[in-house]
Amino acid sequence: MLTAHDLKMSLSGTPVLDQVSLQLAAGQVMVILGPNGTGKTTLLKVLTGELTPDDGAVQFQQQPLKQWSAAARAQRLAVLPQHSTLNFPFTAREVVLLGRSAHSSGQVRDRAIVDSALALVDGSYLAERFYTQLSGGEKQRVQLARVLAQIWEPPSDGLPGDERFLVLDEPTSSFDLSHRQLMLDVIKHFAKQGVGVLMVSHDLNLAAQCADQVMLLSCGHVAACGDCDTVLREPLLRDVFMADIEVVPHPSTGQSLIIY
Amino acid sequence: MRPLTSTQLLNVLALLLPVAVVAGCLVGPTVIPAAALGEGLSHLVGLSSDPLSQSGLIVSGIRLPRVLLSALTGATLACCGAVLQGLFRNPLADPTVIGVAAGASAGASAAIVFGSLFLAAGTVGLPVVGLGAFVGGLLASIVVYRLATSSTGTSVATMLLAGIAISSLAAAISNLLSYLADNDMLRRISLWQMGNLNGADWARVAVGAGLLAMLLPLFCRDSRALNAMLLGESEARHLGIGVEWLKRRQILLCSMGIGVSISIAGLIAFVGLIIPHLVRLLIGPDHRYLLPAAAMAGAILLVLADVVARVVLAPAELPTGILTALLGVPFFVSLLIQQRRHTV
Repeated sequence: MLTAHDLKMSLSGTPVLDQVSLQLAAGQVMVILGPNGTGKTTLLKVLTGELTPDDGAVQFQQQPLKQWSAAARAQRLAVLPQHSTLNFPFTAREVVLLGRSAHSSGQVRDRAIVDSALALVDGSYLAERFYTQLSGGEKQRVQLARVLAQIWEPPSDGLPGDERFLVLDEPTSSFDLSHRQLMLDVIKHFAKQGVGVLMVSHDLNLAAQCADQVMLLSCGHVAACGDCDTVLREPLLRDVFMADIEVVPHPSTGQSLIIY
Repeated sequence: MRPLTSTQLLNVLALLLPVAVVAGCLVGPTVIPAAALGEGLSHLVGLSSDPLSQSGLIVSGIRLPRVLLSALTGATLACCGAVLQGLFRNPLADPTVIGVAAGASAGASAAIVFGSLFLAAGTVGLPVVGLGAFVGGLLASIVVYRLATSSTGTSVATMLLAGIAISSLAAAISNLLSYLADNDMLRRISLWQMGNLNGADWARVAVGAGLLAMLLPLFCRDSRALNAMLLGESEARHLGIGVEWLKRRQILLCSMGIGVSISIAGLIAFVGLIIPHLVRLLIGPDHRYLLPAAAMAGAILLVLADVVARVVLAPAELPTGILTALLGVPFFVSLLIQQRRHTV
C-alpha cells in the first residue's frame, strides 16, 4: 500500500500541493489527471521521496517512505521520469540492465529479465543499438523496459513488505497509437501480477481504459478522486480543464469515451 | 556496434603496457642496450651487488623511476577524468577544464609560501606541498560543482564558465603568492610549477604507487553506481544509489588523485580528457571496464609522450605537460565541435 496523508508543498513560496491524500493498493491502477502546472509531477516526486513535503506524510508498506533504505526501496518502487538526460552511448540493452542495479540475482537471470522486458515493450530489435541514436518514442520504450526490469520479480532481500509499485510520469507522451495500446497492455499485465501502478497522463481515454481510480488535480488540490464513472463526468472535466469535453459510452466496450 | 569487446581491449592494453614501459626505459638521448635493463633491475631487487655500468645506472636511477612515475600519473589522471565525467554526466569534464588543476596549483604555492613561513626549514617537502595541492583542488572542484548544479541537474555551460572563473581566481592567488614570496620560495614555486617528469625519483614513485593503489579499488567499487549516475541523479536514486554520498566520496577521491599527481609530476594537461573518451569510443561507457582500461591506456599514453618529449629536442627536453597540451587542445576542440553538432 502506498498512502499519502494531507500533503502540503510549496516551491519557492508558491503553493503547489494543498491537502492531497491518496491511497493506492498493490494490483490497483491509479491515474492522475489535470491541466498543466497543477502539481502532478510534484505530487509524484513527493510520493517517490524525491521531494520532502512541507506537511503531511507518505507511507510505503506500513513504514514511512523515508525509513526505507535506498536499496530496499529500489527493489519495490520503480519510477519512470518524464524526460531522460542520458547522453552517453550505452546500448539499449545496457540501459535496461541498469534497472537491475539494486538486485543481486546474477548475470544469467538479469540478462533473461532484460531480454523479456525489451520484448514486452516491442524493443528487442533495439537491443544492440546505441541509446543516443534512438528516436524519442524508442528512448521512452527503452526507459520503460528499464523500470519494468527493476520490479520484474518480487523483492529478494527478505525484508517485510514485498509489494511492488510502478510510478510513470506521462509514459505515452511520444508513443504512436500501437505503442499506446502496448502501454495499456503492459499496465494491465503488471497490475494483474499485483503491481500497483501510479501514472500521470494527459490522455483521458487511457485513464478510462485502465484506471481503477482516477485523481483529478486542479491548482494543487484534489478536485475529485474515485473510480472512472464518478470522476470522468462532463461538467467536472469541463470545469477543471476549461475546454469543450464530451463523455459518451464507447460503442463496443461501453466504457466512458472522452471526446475533446 | 563497437569496434572491440571490453575483454579484447583490456587484453591488448595489458600486452602494450609492459612493452611501453620497456621502450620507455631503453629510448632516450642515450639509447640503453636491453642487457642494461636486466642489470639495473636485478640490482634494484638486490639480486646482484656488482658495481653497475653506466647504462645500468641510468636505468635504475633515472629512466625506470621516470617511466614508472609517468605510468602511475597517466593512470591516475585518466581514471580521475573518467570518474569526473561520469559524475558530471558530461564527457567534457576534465581537471584542467573545470579548474581543479589551477586550484591544486594555487594550493601547492600556498603550501610552499606559508609552509616556509611557519614550519621549520627543510620540513616543507613533498607531503606538505601534496596536501596543499589536494586541498586547493578539492576547494576548486566543490565550488565549480556547486555553481554548476541546480535542482535540474548539472549545467555544462555553467560548469565550463565556473571552471574558467575559478581557474583565473586560482591563477591570481598563485601570482599574488609569487609576488609575496621571497627568493628561495619563488625559486621553489616556479620549479614546481614547471615541474615535469624529469624530477622523478623513487620517493615520488612510491607516493604515486600508493595513491593509485588506494584510488583504483575505491573508484572501481563504485563503477555500477557511476553507470547508474549516467542516467541522471534522480534516476540513480530510484535505482537504489546513495547519490549524495557517491558524489562527495568521488569528488574527494578525484581531488586527491589530481592534487597529488600534480604535486609529484607537475601539471600534465588533457590526459584525463582524451583517454576516457578514446576508451568509450572503443568499448562504451560501462565504468566496470572503462576504469581499468582508462588506467592502462593513460599509463601507456603518458609513458610514450614522455619518450617523445625526451627525444624530440635531445639533448634538451620538452616538458611533458607541454606535449600533452599540444596534443590535447586540438582533440578537445574537435570534441566541442562534435557536441555542438549533436545538440543544436
